[in-house]
Amino acid sequence: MMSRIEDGCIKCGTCQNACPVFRIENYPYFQGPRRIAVEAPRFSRELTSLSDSPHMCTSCALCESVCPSRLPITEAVLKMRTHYGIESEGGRRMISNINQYGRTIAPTSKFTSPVSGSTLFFPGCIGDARVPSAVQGAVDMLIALGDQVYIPNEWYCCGSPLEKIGAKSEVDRLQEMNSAILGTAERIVTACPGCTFQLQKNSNVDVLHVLEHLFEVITPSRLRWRSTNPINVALHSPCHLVRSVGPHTMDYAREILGSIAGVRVIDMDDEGCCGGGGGVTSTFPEMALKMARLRVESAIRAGAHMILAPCPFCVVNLRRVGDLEVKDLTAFLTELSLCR
Amino acid sequence: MPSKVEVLVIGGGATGTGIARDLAMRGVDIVLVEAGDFATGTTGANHGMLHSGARYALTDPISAKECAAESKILKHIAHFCIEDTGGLFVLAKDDNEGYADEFLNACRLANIDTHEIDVDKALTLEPGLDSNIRAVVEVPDASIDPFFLTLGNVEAARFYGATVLNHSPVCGIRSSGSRFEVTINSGKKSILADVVVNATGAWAGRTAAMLGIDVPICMDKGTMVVFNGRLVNRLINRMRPPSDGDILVPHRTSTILGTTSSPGSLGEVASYSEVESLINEAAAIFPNIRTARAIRSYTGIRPLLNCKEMGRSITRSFQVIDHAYDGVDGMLSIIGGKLTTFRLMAEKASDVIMKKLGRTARCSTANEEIILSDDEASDIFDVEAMRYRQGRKINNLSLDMACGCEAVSSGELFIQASSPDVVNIDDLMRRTRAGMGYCQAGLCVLNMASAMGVGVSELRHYMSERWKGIEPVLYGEQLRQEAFKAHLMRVYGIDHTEPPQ
Amino acid sequence: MSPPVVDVDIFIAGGGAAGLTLASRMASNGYRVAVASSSIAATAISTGRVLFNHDDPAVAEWASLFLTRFRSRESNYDLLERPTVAMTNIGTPLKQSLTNSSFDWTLEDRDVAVVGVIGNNDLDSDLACLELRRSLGICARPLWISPFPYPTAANNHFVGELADILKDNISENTIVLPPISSDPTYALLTKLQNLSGKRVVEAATPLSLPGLRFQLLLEDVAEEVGVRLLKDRRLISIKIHGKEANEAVLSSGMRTIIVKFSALVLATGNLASGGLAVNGRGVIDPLNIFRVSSTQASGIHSSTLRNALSSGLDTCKGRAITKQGVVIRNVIPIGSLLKGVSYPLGYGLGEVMLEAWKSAPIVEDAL
Ligand SMILES: Cc1cc2nc3c(=O)[nH]c(=O)nc-3n(C[C@H](O)[C@H](O)[C@H](O)COP(=O)(O)OP(=O)(O)OC[C@H]3O[C@@H](n4cnc5c(N)ncnc54)[C@H](O)[C@@H]3O)c2cc1C
Ligand SMILES: Cc1cc2nc3c(=O)[nH]c(=O)nc-3n(C[C@H](O)[C@H](O)[C@H](O)COP(=O)(O)OP(=O)(O)OC[C@H]3O[C@@H](n4cnc5c(N)ncnc54)[C@H](O)[C@@H]3O)c2cc1C
Ligand code: SF4
Ligand code: SF4
Repeated sequence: MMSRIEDGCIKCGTCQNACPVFRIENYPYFQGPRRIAVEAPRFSRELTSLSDSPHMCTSCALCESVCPSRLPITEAVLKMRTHYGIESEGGRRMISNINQYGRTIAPTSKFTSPVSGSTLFFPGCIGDARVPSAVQGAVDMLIALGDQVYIPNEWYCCGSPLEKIGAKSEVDRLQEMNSAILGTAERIVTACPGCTFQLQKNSNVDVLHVLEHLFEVITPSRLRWRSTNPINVALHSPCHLVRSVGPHTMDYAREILGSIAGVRVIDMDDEGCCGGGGGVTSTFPEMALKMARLRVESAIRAGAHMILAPCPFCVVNLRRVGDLEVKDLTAFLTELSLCR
Repeated sequence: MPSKVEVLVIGGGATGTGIARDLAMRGVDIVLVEAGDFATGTTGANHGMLHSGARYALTDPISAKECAAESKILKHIAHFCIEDTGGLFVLAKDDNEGYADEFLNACRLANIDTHEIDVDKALTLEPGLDSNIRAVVEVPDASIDPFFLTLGNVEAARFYGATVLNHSPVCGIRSSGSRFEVTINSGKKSILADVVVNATGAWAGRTAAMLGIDVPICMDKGTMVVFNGRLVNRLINRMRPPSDGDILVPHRTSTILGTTSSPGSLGEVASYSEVESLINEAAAIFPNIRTARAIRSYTGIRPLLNCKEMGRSITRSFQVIDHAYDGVDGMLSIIGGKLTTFRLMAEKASDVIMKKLGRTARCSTANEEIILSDDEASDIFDVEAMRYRQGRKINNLSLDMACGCEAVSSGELFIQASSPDVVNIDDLMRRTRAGMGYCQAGLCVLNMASAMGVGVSELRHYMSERWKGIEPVLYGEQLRQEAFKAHLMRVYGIDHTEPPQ
Repeated sequence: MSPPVVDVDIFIAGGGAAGLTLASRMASNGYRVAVASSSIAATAISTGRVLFNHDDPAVAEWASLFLTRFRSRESNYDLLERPTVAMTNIGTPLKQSLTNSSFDWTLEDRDVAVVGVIGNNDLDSDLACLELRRSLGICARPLWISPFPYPTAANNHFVGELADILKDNISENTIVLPPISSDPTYALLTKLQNLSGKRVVEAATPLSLPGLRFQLLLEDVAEEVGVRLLKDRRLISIKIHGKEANEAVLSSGMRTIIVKFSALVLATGNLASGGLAVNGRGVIDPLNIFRVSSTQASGIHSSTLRNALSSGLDTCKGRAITKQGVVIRNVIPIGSLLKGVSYPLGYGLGEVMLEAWKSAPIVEDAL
């Protein structure tokens, strides 16, 4: 038996200090990762009074990444969430959309793209519905770079958002529905960290975030950009990209941006979560907005003209603040021109 | 403190405080004195089982019947400190099959509500059980918190007019005429009483000796190991003649494995080999116990009156000794029994005392809740945790986290720390559970010290005392925890493993 | 697709005080150095107070690389002359450590108020004052203020309000506060000091900001001198051929990365940070490659705990030894991963950094 998560903790408190929700929501309203994942499961009857806390987690995994005992805290938080059931309006809407369309959001976009090739570009529900320009731009850019990229006629949600709300059976069903479509590709590329992680978990082919694809497959030597008007950009590190897919992706992002004359990457005071994950944008919209505002303010303080985020979830949530332009990194890149 | 009372009770365990509550409810003028803090004797070192009687059904039918009746009563009057989890008796793969039928029969005779359930069902109820177990019987065991039970008795006794004092050791008893003069706290106080009740458990021999009475007590030591978290949902008993490492009790945020039985003496601590052997025994029905995180160990002393029959075979039923037969009329000793039967023991003892006092009021302890428990849930975790501990909650409390393991707020710490009963960090711990979790006070000790207004030397003393129970379980995650704690304590200039000065 | 490759001269696994010290020294000597780290370092949860061995000439060498760079970051760290050389930041002597005899009380004026912030567990003003009186005979006044206004990096503007409170409502000249901002520098503290005209002392508490700031300072300096920091990347295996290690595998999220190097330095810390693990009552190498043993040590009464704390990687002339007894010529363990160096037995940060500094020749030799 693997030891249980609540047995591995040495009470250093690092996870509590690292949690971005704990920083803005007062104890005991939000109880923090250690309480939710480690301490609370040891209680019995008291558990009825923890209900909101697990649902407030943005699944940013900051807690887990600093834990010296390397406990799977986010997974345990999700387990607690499943224990209490899906109680949000947003969650119910998502499930009804899945039943109707196989997507969490009704399909809206029509992309101009080949429908077969070797590199499958997976748009993802949010990409399709909220940042279609990033998807279209990515496809155009990859075609321009000589890639055999295509978007299949039909595709379904990767299941990632449903896993976050504990809807296990839907996740399995979607995986089944997608398997025939995705199985034929040589490689899958997405602009969404959630899709990358979720699809890779169940796939034998490489599923790459577009940054990985650009850097590792296309390689920097072929990515030579024309210079642009000087601009200061704050590069936001999406939680699900850095901690689920891997921190190397942000190194790639920095290197790519660094190679573009005119673009200056500005450091923000701290790394942080935008509040866009874990379904809290629908369950606790005020809190999600508060977190996004902290990021935007930090970018403004640092002197940024624009925030770039290589994740559609972050883009959507950061845009709600409205004080600063927010762009999907992929979309930003596709608007630049490459040297031929 | 009055200088003259009808009854003086010595000993603030479950028995003594139970008598205090009983007599106070009958209108008797009474004082109870406890040497240390309440429930620091055997009461605070027991296994925390509210026995349904099943465990004694075969070996000690009288005890079994008493437990069956008393546990029902306690579930009603002490439900603030009882978690009615139910229990299972489990037949291990290699244990004697014939025992199951005998056991069921005996339970029926003792009036214990038992029934056999499917092994498969048992495995879904308790996924950690060994999948090779062969029979399972469901019994109405429950988990009880002896600290809060005792504190509840104290509160109730005071409510009915009793004077109840901790940190007041009796150091001498003299009979003067028809009265006794009892000196307390190295002679700083003395008090006259018509009747003296010796409820000092394992110390009963020493106490009786103050009057020259011989109460030969043998000490039987039982060791228990506390594991982090709830490994089981119900009490798990091994279905075999009572032996070592038979029982797992889910207790608040932990699971307690026990016990051993061997000759011992007061103040003894557990050893690593005892811990190992308990784990080996328990693994027969609960294999995961090997990888579970043990967080501490402790030992309790069973005072046994009949020295020739040591160990488990002796009856667990209790004795009320009237020392009139030793030529000292007005002095009683109450020894033995169980936590589960404390109320009955108190009733029987009080009946004798009432006769001696020439009074007639009857016992009413079975009809009234010990403390009125608050059954209205809160939606705040820490407040809810407080309600399940204290039996009541306070809503507008300062809710800063003081002890994370046990969900104790600084507000709860401060309220308890302000009680005149609380003179050291240990006392505060017992009244809040702060420090009892898996980090074993690594973090909350500063908060406790601060609530008490004491500093590093008191903190060091407390940590040293705690260490005795930790040393025997220094393996696995707890070893890592203590290594980390050594780093942390060094910041305060403390070696938390040093013996108390 | 094959995993990406990082190619360096010296690869250091573990980015705490030990790893970053050696990395910075080697990088400033012109080597290509990468440091991988995952999860919090003990360095970042310590109090950030450093004690050096007075007689060690390496102190000056160390300081010449780090101290000026610390100062340029408004760190307020300085070397203090003591029987043992202490490096401390502004006010560290008071600290929640309360009675630690290795620190003198250095504040000239003893006109002190200790200000706790309700809800902040880092500094308990009553407790601190009690201990100040008991151990140093200083009568400080305990005060409590409510949490707002309280400055953090994100709400700088509260500094002014807090400074006003310190100036107008507190008569004492020296004011002790809990760790005040998550900013890696002490700029806020300095500002508060300037605005209030008081001497403002920050308590150095464990598991809190001071250690984190020290960690960030070390990381900053390392990056400045050219060290490549691979954060959140975890060493998961080492490929060994004969007496030489030639490849390390790191995990990076769901992917892996290959590192090629000439010398591999292990600075993964002790039981507190996961460089060592427990197995029953024993201590083991979590990578399951190297030999772990313990040394004679004193300082902790419990022999079981002392034994565990004094356990660490075994070395031969600074090189790691496998469980089979093979000395690997280019794997060099440093810091609290080594036996006998864990904090309550060893000297902590100071020892860890100086010994790491001094292992440079061994690493050069292995290149
Ligand atoms: C290992 C073990 C496990 C057990 N498990 C269970 C169980 O699971 N369920 C159950 O029902 N029962 C259990 N029991 C039995 C139960 O714990 C005891 O029967 C019960 O706690 C006895 O309480 P007491 O008040 O008689 O004695 P104690 O709790 O020992 O009280 C005696 C008190 O007298 C005080 N005292 C001593 N000398 C003086 C003095 N001179 N002046 C003032 N005060 C003095 C002591 O400090 C002490 O607090 C267990 C017993 C043991 C040993
Ligand atoms: C609570 C506490 C308080 C302390 N207080 C003080 C004090 O006041 N003064 C003092 O001098 N000392 C103090 N110490 C001790 C001091 O912090 C340590 O001695 C010192 O930090 C050790 O440094 P290190 O570089 O050896 O290890 P660490 O700082 O622990 O660094 C090791 C790093 O390696 C990483 N790592 C581990 N495994 C891997 C892997 N497989 N791959 C990649 N990275 C890995 C870890 O995550 C960590 O980041 C304290 C320690 C603690 C825990
Ligand atoms: S995943 Fe993020 S939001 Fe959730 S508990 Fe951990 S740190 Fe907090
Ligand atoms: S970071 Fe890990 S070890 Fe530390 S308190 Fe949180 S869960 Fe426990």
